[in-house]
Amino acid sequence: MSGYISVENLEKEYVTASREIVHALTEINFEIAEGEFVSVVGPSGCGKSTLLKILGGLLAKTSGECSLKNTPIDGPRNDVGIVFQDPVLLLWRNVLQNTMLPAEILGLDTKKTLPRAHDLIRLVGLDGFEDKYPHELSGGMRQRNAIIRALIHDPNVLLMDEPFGALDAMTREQMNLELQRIWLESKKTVFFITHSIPEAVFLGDRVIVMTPRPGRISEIITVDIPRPRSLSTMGDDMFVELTQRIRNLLYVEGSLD
Amino acid sequence: MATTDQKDETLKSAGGPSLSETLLQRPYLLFAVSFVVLLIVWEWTVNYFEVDDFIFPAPSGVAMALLRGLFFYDVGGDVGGAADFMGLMKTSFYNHISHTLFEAVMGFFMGSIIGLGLGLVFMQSKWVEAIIMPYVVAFQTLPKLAIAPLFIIWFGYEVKSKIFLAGLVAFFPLLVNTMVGLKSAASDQIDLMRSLSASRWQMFWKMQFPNALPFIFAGFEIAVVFSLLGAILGEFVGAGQCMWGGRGQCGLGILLMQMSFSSDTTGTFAILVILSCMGLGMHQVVRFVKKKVLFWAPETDKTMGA
Repeated sequence: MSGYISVENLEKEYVTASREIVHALTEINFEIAEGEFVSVVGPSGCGKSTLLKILGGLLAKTSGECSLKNTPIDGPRNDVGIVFQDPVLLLWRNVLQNTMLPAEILGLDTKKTLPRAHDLIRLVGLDGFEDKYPHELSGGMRQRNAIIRALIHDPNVLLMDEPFGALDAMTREQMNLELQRIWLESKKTVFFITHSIPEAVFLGDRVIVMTPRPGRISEIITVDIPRPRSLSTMGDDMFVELTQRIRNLLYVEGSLD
Repeated sequence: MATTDQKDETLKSAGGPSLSETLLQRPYLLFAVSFVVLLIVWEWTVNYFEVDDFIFPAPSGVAMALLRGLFFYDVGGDVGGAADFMGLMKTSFYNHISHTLFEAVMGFFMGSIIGLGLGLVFMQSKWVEAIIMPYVVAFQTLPKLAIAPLFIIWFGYEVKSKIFLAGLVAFFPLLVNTMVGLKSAASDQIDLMRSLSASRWQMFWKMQFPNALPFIFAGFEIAVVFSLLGAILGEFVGAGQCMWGGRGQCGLGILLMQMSFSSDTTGTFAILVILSCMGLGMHQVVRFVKKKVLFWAPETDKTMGA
């Protein structure tokens, strides 16, 4: 176990209401280096969200090893920030208050976190909207709010569970560019789940391709495209080749039927 | 809004809105006009078929009874006399209104605060919920009219018994809505709080309780109407002496009974008008507070537990 995040022989089984055992994850092995951006792509039901919840300490594993900075993950920890598919903003809090939520709960010093909150709000272009409530924001703005909330307590690791899944295609591309910029500036270790193959390749240093029933890793693909990547990168031969390769992997496994 | 605007434009391009179209765009005006039409038809029908006031009074008669009661201290009018053996028809409507309103409002605050509090307690402890909840449900299924005489025995004829009865009916919507509301947190929200290692206390105050507020306010909206019902019900069974001037017993419920004894259908209608205005007014106050507190919530009706 040498990686920053390291997962070895991870297994996860559920028992359903009808007492059947479901293999959600099996034989999961990978390592993530510090500051690396790893995307996970796969169809619904391949257990990628389950994997993220185990890494976030929200869900217990059945067997195997799972560690972060050489300490086993056995519960939620402060050096991890999570972005969910829905922004999960608290509706009665404005942008600034939602951003400050983790700082409040973790009991951080407001004198230090408040300027940081304003910096983050500026970083994602939400300045001027500090006192707006979620119902006054667009979908993209809400998700940006959710991302900076996950960053406020300066965690080392960012876990993202299909954060742009609910956005329209144009907003999504904007958010991809923005996330790349944030990542380049903050150098967090990112574990990024998505449905979209181009998104996974565009953002990731490596792409973990997963297939369902039971959820397992089909292949881990290294994306050797220099940064910063722009939207035109998506037309490059290398990019097209990689997305095609992932698509083939998913089709060969018969998971996209 | 967008659809009405659009409609507006298509109408203008079609060469100016007609009367019916103007009315459709202003629901309040439409209601006012239709209400006046209703009153005219009602008045005319009663006069034309010479329906006895005792069966169905004309709106003009109801209006007169209302004005007399509100301004002239003499409610029963012609039919009063011997039937008014308790003298309460000589008491201004205002005295009756103030008693009933006092009972309903006090009951509303008492019942809904206790309901809210118990809802919060039940959700903190499965034990308490399992032990006490069956009694609460069993109690709720009892017809309140059946309990009313007991309340008179326990708490006397004065306002106390009416307040408790109003409180009792206001209690349940708050209890149920608080419990449903506290359970309404999405699993994502719980995950978010758990990922930050939030304590139970933080989980409750920063997430669960604000989340429950739309449900709790839906409970208040039901409870405020119920509490008026409870107060009237209590007065039917036994009203207390007037506390703030006036002779004999006070309360719109007892006045209603009295008018029914003396076959004063016109007066009964007048009281019903007052009661519905009170109900509407109390409901509007709750809605006003709700709009102020829940400015962040999408406008949906989360009504349950009636």
